[in-house]
Amino acid sequence: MEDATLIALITENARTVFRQPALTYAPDLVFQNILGFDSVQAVQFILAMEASLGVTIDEEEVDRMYTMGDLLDVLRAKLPAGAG
Amino acid sequence: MPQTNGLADLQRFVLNGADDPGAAPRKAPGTVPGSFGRGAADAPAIGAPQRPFLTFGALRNLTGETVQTLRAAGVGRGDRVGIVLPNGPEMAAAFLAVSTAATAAPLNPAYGTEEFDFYLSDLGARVLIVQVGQAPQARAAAAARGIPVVELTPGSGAAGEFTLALPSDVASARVAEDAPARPDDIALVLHTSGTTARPKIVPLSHANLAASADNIGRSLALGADDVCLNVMPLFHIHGLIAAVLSSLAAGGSVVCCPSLNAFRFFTWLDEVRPTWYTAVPTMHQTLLELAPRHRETIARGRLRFIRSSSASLPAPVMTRLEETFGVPVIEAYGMTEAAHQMASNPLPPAPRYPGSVGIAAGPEIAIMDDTGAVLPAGAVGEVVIRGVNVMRGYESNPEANAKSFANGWFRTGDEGVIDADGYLRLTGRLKEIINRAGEKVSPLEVDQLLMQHPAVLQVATFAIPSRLFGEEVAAVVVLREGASADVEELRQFVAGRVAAFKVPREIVFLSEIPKGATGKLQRIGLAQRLGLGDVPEAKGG
Repeated sequence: MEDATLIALITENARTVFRQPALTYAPDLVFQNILGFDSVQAVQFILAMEASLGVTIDEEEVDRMYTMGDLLDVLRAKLPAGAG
Repeated sequence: MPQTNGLADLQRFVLNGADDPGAAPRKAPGTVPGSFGRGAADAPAIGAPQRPFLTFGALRNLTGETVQTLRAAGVGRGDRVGIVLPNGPEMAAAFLAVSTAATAAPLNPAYGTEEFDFYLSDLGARVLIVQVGQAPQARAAAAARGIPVVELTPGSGAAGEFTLALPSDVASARVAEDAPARPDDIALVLHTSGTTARPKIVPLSHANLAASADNIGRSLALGADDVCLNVMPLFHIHGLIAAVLSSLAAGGSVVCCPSLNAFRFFTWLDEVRPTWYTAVPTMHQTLLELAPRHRETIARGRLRFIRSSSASLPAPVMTRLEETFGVPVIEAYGMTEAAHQMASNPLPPAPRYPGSVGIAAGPEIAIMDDTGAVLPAGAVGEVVIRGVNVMRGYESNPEANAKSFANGWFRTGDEGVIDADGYLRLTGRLKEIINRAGEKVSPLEVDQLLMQHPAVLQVATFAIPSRLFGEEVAAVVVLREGASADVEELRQFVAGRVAAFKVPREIVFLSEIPKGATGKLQRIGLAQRLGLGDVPEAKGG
């Protein structure tokens, strides 16, 4: 899947789950610095990403997701460009 | 380790119990060190994922060392020790050791500098314990008030081991008095948010805590073979008493996780093999979302039951939890002023009912009317309690105490009804407090913060029902004429001053604050009148 598509989905789900309508994607944006982020919302966000893309993200992958860029890296590995 | 007479006294006191075959059974009222003094010396007490257990013997030694260190810092019995530590085994051990030496005052590490400044000042903290390299905002608040900072370094061995390092300027301030804690000494102080903007201090004695731990142990039939997986924050009464102290008082163990990491929970379930865990409904709901992908882990687990407290557990969530995990879900009712537990559903074969918080499980519980008269079964009124686990009164707050006690009973602020079998059902809340996933938020505190914004003329903060959090914070704002501000600006304004859970999820701009039928502001029911929230108005609890 193309980066632009993944970034659009990350942005849309983050805006919805964290209730930040003006949130924009930035590779170095740390999830924990988003207003509204907590352990419960983190699960909701990951579940929303999984539902959007039809993939499963496991706990080792979640542990590596410190920034939005980290999430994009995980998704790229699951959905290589041209594969979706 | 050199031992003073005082420390030797402490050690004898702490060890009075299982390690002393000649000791008589502990008589009420008890103490915190008495509660963890009964476990066998070589039995596991405090654990953490992928770390060896701290034994009861090692915990008691660590406590003795901590008492000595704090005495060397000039901290005596009754002195307040602020604790700002990450969740985990060191926090559990520090709570037990510090409350044995003095009065423990755990604070939420997520607070901002202004909040730390208020709490440290309000408590009159003698010293502040923080983990080495962490808690810059708490350190800044302590420094501004001249409160010495004691640094805690976690050990590399058993879970919960730590060493304390004193700052050089307090090293010569030793106090001679280091007698063991007594049942009437205050072991723990916590703040509780209520109907006033200023949080109230709840002083809980050793007797309160020991009684509550024993009450919980009896309700859940806890024993030496039980292992609790703690996912609750250890700056709240729920985790400190229901998970930590009740486990140890029963001779069992508690495994302390860094925090609720729902993705890690099922790995911990496999590794730790707990017999129970206790959590708020929001956590249970989050775990249910991930449970379908962990069916095998759940099936090979050895959970005996799941406990839920600190907010009302929706009946469908209870049903799904029982179906998913295949064990009884025990809903209990607690509050800080009662050192946590007041009522609990019983274990099978006694019946448990969705929507009921169970039967009296420690203190006496009654229903009272406005005049202070106790009502018969079936009548709706305010839930009141009395018993060994109930605090004697808020600290330095005669006004709150006058309102909160009637004829020897403590008024909980919750409305409920007790049926003929003694089961309590909560029907509403008389206090305007907001309960977000067990975190209590004072609407007045948020009002006052928003009023500091130059564009805000009037504000009313209130609870909105939430499927996931039970309740969330919302506010109606009236802007000054000609002034402008948007929702995000106001949310960021609040977020810059207080912990994130107090930031309103929704802010609605209106031309005036809606008033109730009497012409007064009525926060309860405001969400319904404004059509806010993602579920119908929740009941209290």
